Parts: sequence; C-alpha cells; structure tokens
Amino acid sequence: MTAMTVGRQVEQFRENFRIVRDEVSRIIVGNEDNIIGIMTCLLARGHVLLEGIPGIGKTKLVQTLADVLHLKFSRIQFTPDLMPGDIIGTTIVRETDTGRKLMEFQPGPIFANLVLADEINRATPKTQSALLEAMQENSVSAGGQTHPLQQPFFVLATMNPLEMEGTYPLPEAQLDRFFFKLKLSFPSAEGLSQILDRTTAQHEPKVERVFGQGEILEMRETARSVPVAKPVQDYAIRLTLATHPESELASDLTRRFVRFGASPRGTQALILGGKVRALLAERLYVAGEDIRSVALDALRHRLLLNFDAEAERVSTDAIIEDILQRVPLPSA
Amino acid sequence: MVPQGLSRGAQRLVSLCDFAAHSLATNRRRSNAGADVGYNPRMSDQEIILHTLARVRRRLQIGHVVHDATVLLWLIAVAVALWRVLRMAGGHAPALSAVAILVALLLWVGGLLVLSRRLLARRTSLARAAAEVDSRAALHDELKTAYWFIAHPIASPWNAAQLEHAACSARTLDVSRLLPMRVERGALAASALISVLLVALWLAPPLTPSSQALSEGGNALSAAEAKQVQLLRELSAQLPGDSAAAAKLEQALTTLQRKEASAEEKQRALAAARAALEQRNLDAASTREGLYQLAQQLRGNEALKDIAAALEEGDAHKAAQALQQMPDAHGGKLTATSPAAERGNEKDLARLIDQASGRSDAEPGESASVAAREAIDRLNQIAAQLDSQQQLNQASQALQQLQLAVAQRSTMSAGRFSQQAAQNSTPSPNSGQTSMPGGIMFRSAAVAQEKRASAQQEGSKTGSAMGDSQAEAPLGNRVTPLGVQLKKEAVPNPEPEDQQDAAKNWFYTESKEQKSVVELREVQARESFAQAQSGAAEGVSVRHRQIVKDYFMQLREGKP
Repeated sequence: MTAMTVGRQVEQFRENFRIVRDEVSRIIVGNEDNIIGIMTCLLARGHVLLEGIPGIGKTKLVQTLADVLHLKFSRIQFTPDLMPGDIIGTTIVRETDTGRKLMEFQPGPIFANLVLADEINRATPKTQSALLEAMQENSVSAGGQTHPLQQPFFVLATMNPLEMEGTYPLPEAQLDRFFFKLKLSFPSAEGLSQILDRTTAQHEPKVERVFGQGEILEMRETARSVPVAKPVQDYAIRLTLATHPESELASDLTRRFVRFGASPRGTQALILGGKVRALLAERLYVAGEDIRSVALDALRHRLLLNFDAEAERVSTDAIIEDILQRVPLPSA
Repeated sequence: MVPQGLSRGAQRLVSLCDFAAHSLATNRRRSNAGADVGYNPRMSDQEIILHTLARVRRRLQIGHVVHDATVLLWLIAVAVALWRVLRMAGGHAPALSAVAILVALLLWVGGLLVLSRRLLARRTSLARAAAEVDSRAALHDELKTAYWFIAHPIASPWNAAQLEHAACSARTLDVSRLLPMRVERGALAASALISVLLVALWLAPPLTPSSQALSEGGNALSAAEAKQVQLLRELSAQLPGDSAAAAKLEQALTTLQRKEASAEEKQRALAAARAALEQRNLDAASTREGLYQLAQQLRGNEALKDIAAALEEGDAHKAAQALQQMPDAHGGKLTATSPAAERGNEKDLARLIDQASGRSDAEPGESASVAAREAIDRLNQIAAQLDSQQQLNQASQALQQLQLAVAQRSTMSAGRFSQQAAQNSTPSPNSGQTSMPGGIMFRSAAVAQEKRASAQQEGSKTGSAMGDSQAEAPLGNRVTPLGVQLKKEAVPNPEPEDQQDAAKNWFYTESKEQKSVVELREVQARESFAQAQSGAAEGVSVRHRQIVKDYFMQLREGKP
C-alpha cells in the first residue's frame, strides 16, 4: 500500500459517507449531526443510543439508514413483558422428516446487521442485559452454544426521556456499552415545514440502497487505519481523566457533581470517533479538534452524577463542556 | 463536489476524477513552491518539514527577543516614570514615599527576575514551532503530528501519506507572512503612551517645591509679615540713641525685603538683629544690677533713704524725683540741666549723688547743686533707657515671629541653623541664665530682686521660636543673687595711667559663700553616690569594699 492508495481510500471513505448522508437526508429533515454521529458509530464498530421526545423521527432515522445501507434490519419494540429469549432467540425442538427430534436454535431479532431497540428503557433490566453480550462480544450464547453475529452488527437503541413511570433506567454497565449517546432535538419551524412537505404529500420520497455490507466493512477498516500521534492520544486520556473526581485533572465542577467518571471505553470512543471525524475532514491523522468534536457524544452517558447534580439539575453536557474548556488542546 | 442526481456509479467516477485532479494539482504546487521558496527538489518530505520548522523556529526566536526587549524597555520606562512620579510627589509624606519606592523597586526587580527566568527557561523547540505554525496557518495539528511521526517513525503507508501531505502544506507556507518581524500594534501603542506619559511627567511641575523654588517663594512677604516689618521700622525709629541695634535691625529688614536673598541669609540677618536687641536687654539688666548695688551703698545715708529705696526697686524715675525733692544748698529745688547730658556709669552716679547730698569731701555749695543736677539727668537717662526696653521687647517679639516665618520656609533645620548662628539666646525669665556656646552665664540678681513685674522685665519670658529657649532652670525656687555668688578681685596694677583704667583692673571670681556651697554640694553628691552604691546587690559601698575584701582574705580558721 502506498501513500497514493491511502489517499484513494480516504477519498473513497469520504465519498461513501457523503452518499449515505445525502441519501438519508432525503427522508430525514435536519439532524445532520446525528446522522454523522450514527454513521460514525457504525464505522467505529460501536452502538448508539438515541434519546429524544416521541415523534421526532428516531425510528424513522434508523429505518432509513437500514434502507440506504442495504443491511439486514430488525426492530425490537421493548416492552416490560419482553423476555431475553424474545431478543436473542430460543432453542426449540424440531422434528425432522424422518421423525427424529432435534434441538435447534431459533435466532431472535438480534441476528441482524442493524438492530433497532426501540424504547429500550421500557424493558426490564433482565431483558436489557440480554443485549450486553451481543453488543460487546458480537456474539450470543444460548443453549450452551455461542452464536456469532453477522458483521456489521449495529445496535441503535432509542430512549424516551419524558416518561419515567413504567420505565427501567439503563444500568451504567449497559450505558457504557453504547459508543455514542445522541440527543435528537426538536426540529425548527423550517424543518417542520419540510417534514410536512415530505410526509403529507401523495408520494413520499424513497431512498436507494447505495451500498451494502462489504463497503461498510471496508470503511471500518479504513477508519481504524488512521494514525494517532501520541500528544493527541494523551489529550483524549486527559479528557477522560478529567471526568474523574479524584483525578488531579478534575475541575471543580467535576469534583462537585460527578460520582464516577468515564470508563476506558470512553477513551476508546474518543479516539475511534476522532478517527472517523478526521477522515471526514480529509485528514490522514487525528487532530485535537477531532477528539473535541466527539467528546460530548462519547462521554455524556458515561458520567455518573451525584445527588447534588440531580438536585441542582446539572447535566453531564455542562460538565463535559467545562472540561473541554479547561483541558488544553494537545501541545507539542 | 459531486453533483446531485447522478447514479451511484457515475458519482463514484466523478469523485475519483476529482481525487486525481487534486493529486495532480498538489504535485504541481509542490514542485512550483519548491522552486519559489528555495526548497531543494531532492529533499524528502521529512527534510522539507524540518527545514520549514527550523525557519519558523528562527523567526520565533527573533520574535521572542524583540518581545522581551520590548518588555525590558517597558520595565525601564515604567521605572523612570515611577521615579519621576515619586520625585514629584515626594516630600508630602516621606514615609509613604519611602514605602512606595521600596515597593516599586521590589516590583521592578521582580519583573526583571521573571523576565530573566522566562528568557532562560524558554527554548523554542521544533515541536513548539510546529504548534505555532499549525495555530497560525489553521493546519489543524498537521505539522505537529507530522513532526511527531518524524520523531517516532513507524513504517506505515498512512504515516507516509500524512508526512507527504504535511510536506506539501509546509512547502506552500509563507513563513515570513505567518510570522512577520514587526512590533505588535499593542506594543507600539503602549510605547507611544508611555512616551507621552514620560514627557508629561517631565514637564509637569513638582508637587513639592524644590529648595530653589522655596527660596524664590520665600522672597515674597505675606501681608502679616509686611505688617511686622512696618512695625519693626517704627520701633527702630523709636530706639533711643542706639545706632548699633538700629543699624542691625535696619539691615535685617533690608535683607528681608530683598528678593534675591535666600531664606538662610534672611535667617542670619534676623538672628543678628535679634542678638543686638538682646544685647540691649542685657545692658538694661546690667543697669538694673548697678542701680541695685548703688541702692545698697546709699542705704546707710538717711538723707538718701528714699532714693535708695527707689533705686532698689529699679525705678530710676522715682529716684530722680526723690533727688529733685531734696533741697539744694540755696534752698531751691534741683532741676535737670539738659536732656542731652552725657551718659556715665553707676559709679559716677553714686559720686554725683554723694556730692549732691553733701557727704562728699568735695567743695560744697554750688558744686553740690551741679552734681545733683547731673545725677538727676543721669537718672532720667537711665529711666529712659529702661523704658525703651519695652519697645525693644516688642521689636524682639516681632523679630521672633519673622524668624519663625522665615525658618518655616527654609530647608535648613532649626537646630542646624542654631548651631550655625551660635547666638546667645534669651535669658530665662525665672533663673536669669543665658545659654551660651561655651557655658552658662549667671545673671539672676537684678531680675530676682525685683518685687513686681514691670514692663522692663517683659520680653524675656517668651520662648524662642527657634526652639532654643531655656527651660526652667534646675535651681529650685531659691535663687542666690549674683552679688552673693561672685566677688570682685582686684588685679594689682603698679602704675595706673588714670583713674578710669584703674577702675577696670578687677574681675569677677567665686565668692566664699559660693565656694562653700559648691563644696557642700560635692560632699552631698559623694554621700549620695556612696548610699546608692551601698544599696546595690553586693550591699557594700565602693569605699568599703577593699576593707571587706581584705578582712575576708586574712580570715583564718580558728582565728577571730
């Protein structure tokens, strides 16, 4: 591989990314950052948690993405009575033509490339934890056997922040397994107008399947190849350490309101997300600003706030922004 | 940018074409830039990057030197301005000025130390230069990362691609535009401001006048001082027949009104005039003492009892009137001959009074009348002299006030001036002592003997404005007259030329009584010293210590 090949790879990566983004934008109005965020997670081999009020297009966004990427898509509507077996599948007894009975694993909806876990906080923790192994190990254990998941495996979970009754907040361990947590904001007046134009007409816009599994895996490899200089890596480490209240780098806000800081998965998310952002910015290296650009999405769900923060309604976003202001960019 | 609406394959083709065009443009720019800015076309990507960073570092170092020099100049300018401000404001509050100078000096030294430390500690590395270029040229950490990859080489096509891209960026950099060698606007504006401030401070008048300004300002007499001068002139005109004191006073007033005269000159002239007036006071005191002694001589004569009483009181007028009341040889009353009779001493007066009373062995009759007239004239003169002391005292007080005003304007301290002037000060009104450079002159007899305070005594009771007046004398309430303390000792002169010279051949010496008093005090002092010593921790006086010591040294066991 030569420098020219690398350049071509980067150009291809950017082009593919642009195509997906443009295609999704034909259905989804606004939310450019969230589309980029979801694609970043997909290309960084992560999973994404989408948070937003009902009706702002969380599910539509995921469905559109699945349509564009020509991947196997499954949707799991999480409810309180949903069982783990309903997600990962179950072993059933099947009788062959010869009358012989066999124990056969019947894969659940998780066996797909793109899994939409809709309203994940409505399911019980037991069911939520069924996703843990799948998300982290990309495999499912059932009936004493481990079944690998087909790549790319990408979980998009949605969560409604308004309804608290009858919901089960995600445990920290599960939250940490999400690469990014994205917040979908309410569209502007212009955005609403566009949504109405697109969804209330006789013909709704359709998307094309631009590329499939192979291109995604190729793009993932490209993203992983981007080199990171040590100072930039140190910057990501310093950002992570700054979220820990007992760290020397912790700010006053962190010491006051944070109970537990981000895990090493947070640092990984910073670097991997930074790599994708570097490629999108036509860079062959990760710059400090790439790390900064993904810091909010990568760390906001990894900080565990204390009671004071809850009482004073301090959000994790505010703390991370404070950290970003205080921790200097990578120096020479 | 790939146009919208194309099929996926067409879009991909367009993007590949774009990339190829971009690569070609980059290569072309690279070769052109290399020719323009002096890069060797054979240089590798790493060399190009390092060469660029070295150039940047050099310019950064020069920039730092310029910046530090500016800061140093600033420090100097601030120090100069501070010095000027303190010089302007100094004198109002010397302690505050000293503290301000100290603080300013410490701040300045602190600033200099910080600057020196910064100069010593700062080492502009290539990595620092890369960071600076990334920041200024918005290269998004490209050169910084490239430099790190050069320093930590990893065989990777991605690293090579990054270095190639960074080298391309480094070639296109215009370092001189990125890091221009010019003084910043802020520094220029600040320099202009400090220059204006310095000029303004230099031209501004000092808040505390200098000594020259003080002397110039002291030339102008205030209205009150002009009034004092006028009063002094009037008093000078009234001074009876004393040309020396009047001349001194006139000279002092002339000096005081002279614009070019310094405050010290004025002080000296005023002190000289005041000394002349004080001399007149001393003469008057001497006259009163003579009258007292004359009264003692005349006390034995019953006919002259009233005159003696009047003289003892120091009232020359009354004595003259009493002498006038005495009938002369022809049965008529005596009258004064002329107001301009010559002035003589008290001995002449005693002789004249004796002649007038007929006690003298001289020829009686007409000569007694003449002597009585002369005595009356002499007494009138003495009375006029003593009366004139009131004017002298007024003049002396006015002079004191003027001295005070002039001394306040002078930069010389009062004590220093007193040392320089070395003039006799006013005798203490209670003890009659006068402080002199060489000792103390006792003149207590005449003043202490007077029963009532008269206008002739006034004037000596106010302290000197110069602060050198004598405090209460440590002699107690009882004052021994001078005549008791001193006695006249004749100097043997075998061949006196005339009677007047013979009268001067004596001097004052310690009287027997005074000698015994002094010896008594010496004995008392020794006794009190011995008592003080015996009250010490050892409990044995100095006198007896040797005896006690010998006793214990010779003490043997078994022997008493």
